[in-house]
Amino acid sequence: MKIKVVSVPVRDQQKALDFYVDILGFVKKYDIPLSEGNRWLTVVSKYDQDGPELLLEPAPNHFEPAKVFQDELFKSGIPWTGFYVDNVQEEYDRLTKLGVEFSLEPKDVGTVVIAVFNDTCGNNIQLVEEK
Amino acid sequence: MNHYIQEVERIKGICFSNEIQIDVAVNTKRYIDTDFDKEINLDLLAHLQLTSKYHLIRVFKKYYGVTPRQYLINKRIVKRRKNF
Repeated sequence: MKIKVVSVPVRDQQKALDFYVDILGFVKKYDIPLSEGNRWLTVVSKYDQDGPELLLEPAPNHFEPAKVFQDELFKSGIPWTGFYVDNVQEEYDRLTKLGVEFSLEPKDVGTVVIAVFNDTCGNNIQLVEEK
Repeated sequence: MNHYIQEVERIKGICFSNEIQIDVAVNTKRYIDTDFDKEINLDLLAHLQLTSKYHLIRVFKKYYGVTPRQYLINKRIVKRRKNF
């Protein structure tokens, strides 16, 4: 088995694509039309374009429990997932200049530095730097 | 302060309050990350951190989940793969 795709639930796929590509800096990999305007939409890290894909899936719009779960995680400040960066402070500075809102500013937690931002699609996302 | 931040603070207090130990683990990891292609042994790593070999193994495993030797081997495998 291989880990090929992991998903992030989003309310609006186009808005999510814009944020994940234009703001975060990921690269679009697959954009395949499905029924009723839904898309099989994945992005990858520009540093690892053959690596795992992130599926921006519109589950909360079609499955109520997914919406409830996503909403509750968001309200609690719990990240849906996390991305690794070389330097959290630098990424925090870059993203805040682009208008991204952080619920947790860069914080030293033992062997890592973390920060949490709002992906504008219904999720908190954590940045992680290994010290 | 939301629930997640409270939990981060709580867990940090439980698991990451010993800054001296964390420095030993982090400095050792950084040394391995930089010099993985050179000859590295436990005596050297312990000497660099002014600690005993046994203490170093215990502290490193506590914070990274593997021994320094396992970490070094994993690092070399990953780096070798990337070169192909």
